[in-house]
Amino acid sequence: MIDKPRVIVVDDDMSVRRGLERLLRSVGYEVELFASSRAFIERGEYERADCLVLDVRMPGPSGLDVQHLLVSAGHDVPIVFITGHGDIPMAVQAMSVGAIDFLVKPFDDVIFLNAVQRAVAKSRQRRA
Amino acid sequence: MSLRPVRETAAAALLVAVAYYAGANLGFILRFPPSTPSVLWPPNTILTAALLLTPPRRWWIYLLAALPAHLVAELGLFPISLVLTLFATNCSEALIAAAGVRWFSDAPGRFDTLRRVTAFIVAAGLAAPFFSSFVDAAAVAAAQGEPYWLVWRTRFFSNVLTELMLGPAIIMAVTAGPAWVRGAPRARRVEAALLAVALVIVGAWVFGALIDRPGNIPGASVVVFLLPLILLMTVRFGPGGASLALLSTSLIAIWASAYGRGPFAGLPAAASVQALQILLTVLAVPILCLAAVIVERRQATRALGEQLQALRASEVLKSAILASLSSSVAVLDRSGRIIDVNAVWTRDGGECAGPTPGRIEVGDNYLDVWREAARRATPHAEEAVAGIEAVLAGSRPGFGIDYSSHAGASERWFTISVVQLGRLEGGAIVSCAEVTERKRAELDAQRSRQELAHFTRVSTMGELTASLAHELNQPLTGILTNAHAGLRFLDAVPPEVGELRAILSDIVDDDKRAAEVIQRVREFVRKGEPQRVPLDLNVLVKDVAKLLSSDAIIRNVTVTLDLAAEPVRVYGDRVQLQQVILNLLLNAMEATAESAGPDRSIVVRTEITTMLETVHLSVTDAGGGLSTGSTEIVFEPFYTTKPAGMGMGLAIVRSIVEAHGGVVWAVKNPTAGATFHVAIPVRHVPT
Repeated sequence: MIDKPRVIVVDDDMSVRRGLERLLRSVGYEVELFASSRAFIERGEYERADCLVLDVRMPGPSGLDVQHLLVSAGHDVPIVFITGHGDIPMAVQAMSVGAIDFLVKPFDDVIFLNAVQRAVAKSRQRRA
Repeated sequence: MSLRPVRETAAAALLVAVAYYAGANLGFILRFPPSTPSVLWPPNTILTAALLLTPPRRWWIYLLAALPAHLVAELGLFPISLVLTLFATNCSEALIAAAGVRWFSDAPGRFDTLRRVTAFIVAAGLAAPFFSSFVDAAAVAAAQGEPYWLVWRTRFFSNVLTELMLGPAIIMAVTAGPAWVRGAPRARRVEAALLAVALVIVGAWVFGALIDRPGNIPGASVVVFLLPLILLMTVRFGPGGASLALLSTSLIAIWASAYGRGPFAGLPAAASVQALQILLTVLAVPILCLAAVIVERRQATRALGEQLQALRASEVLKSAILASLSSSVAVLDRSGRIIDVNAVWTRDGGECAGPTPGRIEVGDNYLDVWREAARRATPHAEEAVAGIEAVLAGSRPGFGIDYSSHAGASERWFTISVVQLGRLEGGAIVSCAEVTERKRAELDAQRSRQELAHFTRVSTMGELTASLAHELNQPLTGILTNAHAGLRFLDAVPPEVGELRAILSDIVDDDKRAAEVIQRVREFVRKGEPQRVPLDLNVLVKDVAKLLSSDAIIRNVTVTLDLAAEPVRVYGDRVQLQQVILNLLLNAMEATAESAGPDRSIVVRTEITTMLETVHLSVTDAGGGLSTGSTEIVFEPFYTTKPAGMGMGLAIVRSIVEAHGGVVWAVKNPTAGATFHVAIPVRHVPT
């Protein structure tokens, strides 16, 4: 039996975090939640995730900061960015460093799950 | 030291010496027959007068100056030891006289009060001759072989007469004489001359001719013919006239006696001299006293007149001031009854002083007017009654109140002030004036301030749209995501009811959260009359921090709240104080966002300053800070460093804080950034 794909969600808003967790669980993902980027970074073992869902604006290091950190350390984890208000330069930057998608809140569940699905697929493909 | 006083003292000493010498020779001449002692002995009195007119530290100069004069006058007549002894006794008489007068009199050189004249008569006229004559008599008795007590008595009477006759005359001539000679009006000079001539003629006649007639009572003619003239001179010319009249009379009497005439011509020589001395002495004492009493009385009358004049002038001044006032003014007695009003009050019937229409007049009780208004629950009336009662009872120095009246078509404002009347009987002064114009201007200013504050609040919200969108986006995202998840759980077979319940509960919470954001914004931009209510500054700070939390995240700034442990109570308007905190915090966040510095934290602090009874709020950032010298200017309207700024934020902060009786100031931090401080008194009574 194949392991359930693991998705890590990092968002400072509890309600958003819990909504995303339920959505992901409903389609069969294993979900791990972090309330801040700092907590996520300190936890380590970044490769265990098949997909990383990152809020852009958070107290402390932003989602983009986390991406930069992971890329420069050579951790290749597919990332889906979510943000309260998007701007194009930010999205371009994120995508250019290999992000899977850049979603502006609030977003449709299908779009979100599709993005996560693509990330997981990429991750699995690489491991295979 | 300048030479002038030295020269003057030397001249005076020389004058004393010459006068002493002349006086001694005059004394020798005034002996009749030549073998008897002098009737008058001027040298001692000349010394007395000199000492009385100079301060004690210069007395030695005049005593020393008299020595050569004494030696020249007497060396040929007596042995040297006697001459020196006599000089010593002469000096002792002058010293006793001058020291005694100085001791008892408040002005040793003047004869214009009874006290000063009495001091002179007792010390110079009596004590000095009395005490100095003992040694003098002993020396003369030993040297000349004369009977001791005879010498003592002769010297005593002679010196008493000289001191009384010559002393005041010399002193008056030196002190008042020059001024009189220069300044007296013509009529006075003529009068003085006529009286002097009359005195000399009558004196010569009384002493020289008339009294010789047998059968006359000795001395009676002096009383009948001469005394009226002396009294007239005393009354008309005071101590100066009296002393000169006495001196002239004495000289005439002595001159007459020298020719064997006068009232006592029938007596033996020594006895007649003594009788004359006693007569003149007895005459001198009451005349000198009378002169002093006359001057005293005249001065008292003049002082009383001046006081009356001043009183009348102050009355005139007071009523002129009262009449000139543009306010209505009334005087109350201690019960509050009106006892006097000014012209404006009479004209307007005191309309501004009463809360209701109707004339208030003299005789009405002013306190009752307000009590009546308080019974009808007129605004401010109860406060006014309490204030006026406190002033009338003396427990408050003054009281003032502004109040409005709707008596006419439009609202009018009046101000009254009540102050204590500083009289023993108590009472108060009420003054009142219409201040409608001023009040209107104040209300207009207040209204524009409110409108400006409201306008800036709305525009601040405009600046915050991005952050507000983020703030609303979070619950909306939560709701949407949860709703999608819920739909999926519904599709499961069987539906997961537990999950659904949790999802719906989260959706309700998110909805409430969104509603709160909207409520906060709506409250903040609400336009309304300011309301002063008790508030907790900590709560206000937390509310504003929530409103700006998204903004802080967007700008990548952390806001730390360092709040006082206990509630920071203050009396004020909620929205206005929130605006103060918001503007300061936004400013700090903008400064931090613009700066490239590593420290991106802002600290908001609240404190209670017990000593000053103020609450204190400070916002510290580590941004670009203030340029030197701009700590005050930042609060000026339209001052801004931001490209899109209006420059109203801090000006609004200041106007709100000042309307709450507080102060606001900015300080450049030692390391980086700036700190803005606000202090508001806890018990500010709003105006």
